Amino acid sequence: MTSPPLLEVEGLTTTFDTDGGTLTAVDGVDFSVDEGETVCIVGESGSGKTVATESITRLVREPPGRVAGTVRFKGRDLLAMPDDELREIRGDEIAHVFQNPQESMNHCYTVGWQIAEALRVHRDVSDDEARARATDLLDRVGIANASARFDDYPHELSGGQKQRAMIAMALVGDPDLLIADEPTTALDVTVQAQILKLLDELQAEFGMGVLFVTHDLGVVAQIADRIVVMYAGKVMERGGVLDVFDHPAHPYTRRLLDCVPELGGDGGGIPGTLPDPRDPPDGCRFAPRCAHAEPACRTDGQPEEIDVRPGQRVSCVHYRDGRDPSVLGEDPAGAGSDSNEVTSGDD
Amino acid sequence: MTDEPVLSVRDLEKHYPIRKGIFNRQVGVARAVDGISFDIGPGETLGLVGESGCGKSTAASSIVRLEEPTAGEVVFNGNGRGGASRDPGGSHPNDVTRFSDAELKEFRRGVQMIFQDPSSSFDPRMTVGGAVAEPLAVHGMSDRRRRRAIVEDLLERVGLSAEDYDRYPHEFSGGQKQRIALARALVLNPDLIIADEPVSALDVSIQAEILSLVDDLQAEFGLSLLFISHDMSVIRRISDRVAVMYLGEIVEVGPTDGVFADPRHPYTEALLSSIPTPDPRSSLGGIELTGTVPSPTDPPSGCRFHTRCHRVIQPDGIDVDQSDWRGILNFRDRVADGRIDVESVRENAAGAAGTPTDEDIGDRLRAEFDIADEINDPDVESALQEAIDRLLAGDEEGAATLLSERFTTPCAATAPERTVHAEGHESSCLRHRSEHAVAADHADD
Amino acid sequence: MTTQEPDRFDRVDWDEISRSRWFDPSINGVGVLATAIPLLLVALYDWLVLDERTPTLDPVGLGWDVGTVDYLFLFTLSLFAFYIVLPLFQHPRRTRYYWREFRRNRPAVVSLGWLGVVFVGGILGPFLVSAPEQSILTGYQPPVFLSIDESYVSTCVGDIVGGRCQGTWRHPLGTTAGGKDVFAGIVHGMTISMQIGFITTTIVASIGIAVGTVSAYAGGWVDEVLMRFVDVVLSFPTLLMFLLVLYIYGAGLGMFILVFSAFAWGGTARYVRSKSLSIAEAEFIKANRISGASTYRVVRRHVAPNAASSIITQLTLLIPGFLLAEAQLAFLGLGDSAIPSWGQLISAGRSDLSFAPWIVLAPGMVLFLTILAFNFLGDALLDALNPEAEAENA
Repeated sequence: MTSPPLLEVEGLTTTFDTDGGTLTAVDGVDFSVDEGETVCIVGESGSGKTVATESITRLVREPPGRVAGTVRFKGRDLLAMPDDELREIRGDEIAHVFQNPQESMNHCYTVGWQIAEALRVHRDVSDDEARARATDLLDRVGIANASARFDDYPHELSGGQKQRAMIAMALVGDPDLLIADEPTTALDVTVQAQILKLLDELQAEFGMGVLFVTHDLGVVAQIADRIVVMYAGKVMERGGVLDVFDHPAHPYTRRLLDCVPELGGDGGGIPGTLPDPRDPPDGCRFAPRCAHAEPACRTDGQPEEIDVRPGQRVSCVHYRDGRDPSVLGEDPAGAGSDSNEVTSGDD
Repeated sequence: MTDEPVLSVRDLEKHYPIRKGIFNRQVGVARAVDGISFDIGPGETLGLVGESGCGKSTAASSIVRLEEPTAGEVVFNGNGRGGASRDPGGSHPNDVTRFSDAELKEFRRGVQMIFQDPSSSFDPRMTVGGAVAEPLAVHGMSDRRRRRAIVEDLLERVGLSAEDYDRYPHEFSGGQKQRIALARALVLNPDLIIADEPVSALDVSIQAEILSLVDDLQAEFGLSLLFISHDMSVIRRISDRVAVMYLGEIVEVGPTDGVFADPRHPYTEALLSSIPTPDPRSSLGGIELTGTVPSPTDPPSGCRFHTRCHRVIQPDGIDVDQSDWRGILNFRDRVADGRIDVESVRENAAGAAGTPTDEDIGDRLRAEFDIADEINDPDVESALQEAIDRLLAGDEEGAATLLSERFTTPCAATAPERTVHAEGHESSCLRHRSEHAVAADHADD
Repeated sequence: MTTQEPDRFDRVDWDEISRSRWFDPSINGVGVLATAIPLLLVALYDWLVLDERTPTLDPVGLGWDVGTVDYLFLFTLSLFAFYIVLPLFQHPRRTRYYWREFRRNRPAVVSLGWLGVVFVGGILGPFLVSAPEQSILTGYQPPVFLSIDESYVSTCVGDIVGGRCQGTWRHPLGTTAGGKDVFAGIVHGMTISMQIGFITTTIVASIGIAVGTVSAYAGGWVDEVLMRFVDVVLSFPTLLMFLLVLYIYGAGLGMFILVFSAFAWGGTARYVRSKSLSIAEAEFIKANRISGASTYRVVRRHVAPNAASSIITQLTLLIPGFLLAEAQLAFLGLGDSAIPSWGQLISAGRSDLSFAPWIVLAPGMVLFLTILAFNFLGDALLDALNPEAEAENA
């Protein structure tokens, strides 16, 4: 790749000072998002994926939080930037959509007013222009009869409509990067399908980069171009969505995919729980729950990332030079193609 | 099935009165559950699926009488009450809705529930052991040591340890709490467990574990299960049979494999196509349901799903593209509600290019409702165009009258009856009535 | 398990158990009854058998005449012991957890220490330190290490150095104009303060919790009537009521406590009601109802304790209000001058502030510290007992 990525995160580390000691939520995470691309961060709750995305624009409350590393957005380091400059970028060039539309809106103001206000913060526009543009955005995100809904209060909208309105608010600044943190988890499947479709259309229209956080592999498969699999604050595996679904390399990714019976998995779940972020395991974070862990997995920190395929990298000792990754079981490529037949039957 | 069902629900209704004004006058009812019927056999799992607000949780609380049902019958044959037959008067001796207080308390031993939110399922001031043991105490087991022994054994069965007895809920993760909730539901040795979205708040990896635990326990103790969820993939994994609920009614019921392979109700079809398939090669989308669930205070006439149905039937004499038909009906409803603001459409169109002509606005309206610019049926086209013209001329009422006279669907007029498709697979859709068989086939194309 | 056949949930013969029902009281209830019944008997004996002038404990050779306030105080102490202190020992895990949370707040720990001193002083003090007695000759004695001009004191207990009377350890905090020992006054004032604190809290909490939960659970017109009554209570001019009572019946400590707590429970009731309504929505309440628990049991075992733990803060912050009210009334000369409260002590010294400031300052400081301590304690308890915060940390 010749042009630098839209967003480039390197060594992102977010810690929180708590009474029980320092809690490392995100521990030296790297990833990047290109223009017009959708990158999904996948992981269980508590894996640090939400904190990682909030750290990008320093939405993490400091203190008790502390964010370190570099986050280059269009070449500028967001973490080294003064607060007022960052505020310009936040909500304008980088927009956030959160999981719970109920809590993301201010219930004292009308929906349209909030969108218009977001617009006024970033653009020097008259009230009428702001209103017109906000109505247009509401219309654009598929809220029927936008000019009438402009004056509705958030409680008068359904969950799906609220999430649409939140997306409209995020689009106010014509963002280059949209960070969506589980935007459909709180919604019904039928509504989720609508929202995902909307995001897809908007991305095509505005050419945004999208950083999408979710634990739902079904959603990932639908929208992602590339995947970053996180576990306990570390990246376990990354790669193109087809590579990771067809040839998951890390035992954690494999277990995660196994949880989905539609992919031919046993649906057995992953025994055990996430490690205590105040006192993470010495070696690979996943070693305590991994069926293939060996002594080398339990020391010397998280293993380095190893290329297994162009663009696909995994942090697992079994892929080191001279090691045979087949001890992890067969490359479940076969299972992947099987499942295609199974799932296509559903359509 | 020759066996008597453990639970047999007939025409269950739960209506909430809506009161207004200073005198609390009743102005209407919300028909949260409006006449549902199903059976659950011994050891069987019935999945009850539907969007939020469809009344599935209300159905559960009415069945167990956490709330008093408005009408209907819930016959519970567990607890060794089996084999009873109806009184000459027609009432069943095992009808839960007629149970006396003493019978109800005994019934509580036979049916237990698991809830959705692991964080609020336990009293934060009570040890989990105490919480699991409490039902025992409620039912008169006063021997503390015996209670403790039973609960410790049970905690181990659900994958925790006996030492966890003295720990507090906040010391457990969400998945562990659902295990404890399972233990609490099991402790009275019920015949039926009603699980209301028990895994919705959990991660996939944890979901899978809890589901397989439920499976194991069900097999070991011969439990029947009513499993409520909005998640079709969870339902598919755990259920033997599925009932699909929409706006207080069951629209389709059948064996899981049958319903998933061959959904006969358009709503089931739409629900199934909304599940994101975990296959990166499949494309996004499928059937998109327009609009939101109507209010249960004023449910649509006829088939309740007709306001959102992508297969809504065209009346005799009309034969247009199905998506246009859906769009026309949506347009009709919005005009009738007076919820089309021509001025704002005009303004938006103006933003695009100069002063918009009526034609531009008409096109914009059509686009908004996904109606083709030119409909292949000339009669329909002219009627629609006239309605749009009236609307643009400011004659909203005229447009509404024209649209509602010209465009009607049998779905709004007739409530569909149950049609049996296969052994135990039934659905309620007008398309399955013989006279609509042709139309249905056409829509399938 | 040493038993050969461990009990299992699916082997319980419920028919047998359901037939053998018997009352199963908790150790806490038994404890309260075990202290309350003898107390009631003694009170009845005091009231019906003994004549007014005979001290209650005369038959056993003690001179302590137990008054109405004392009976109430002892009763509330037993409630405190069996329903607050004993459960702390019954649930060591929870206690440790609360303590861990509580300990983070340093000022609150110091406050707890101070309130402990006041508590112990209030209970044991009167038995160790004799009540301050009038002794005109030794009036205006200065506290230890301080001195006062010879001309103010008629007899100096300590040495007179350079025309100034020096303080002594006989009166560590000096004496009042009437020669009452200020230290002894403060110690006996602790008893009064503790009585005010405990009795008012008990009355406010029991009425507030009862009205709040009944209102929340009964709903309908019961709720309506109770809440309108709460409105009346909250808008009632308590001070005027107290003054009225004072002019008609005279104002003892008992009357003060009664009148003020009878009009203070309104806010608590309202709070408990809203809290109970939200608790009633929680899934564990549904889970209990589905287990067959009666409404009484649900309210008694789950709703009330959860609501109560959240009103502890409110109650803790109510006590300083009562202490201050008592002191203010005493200062204005509206209290019962026969009771050795801090307020009375302060009011006794107000005219001598210019040359004998300790008479006001010593009890004033103690009152100030106590009120401050209650406020700190309330804050810390709010953090420690808040179950929502727990969930986030878990």
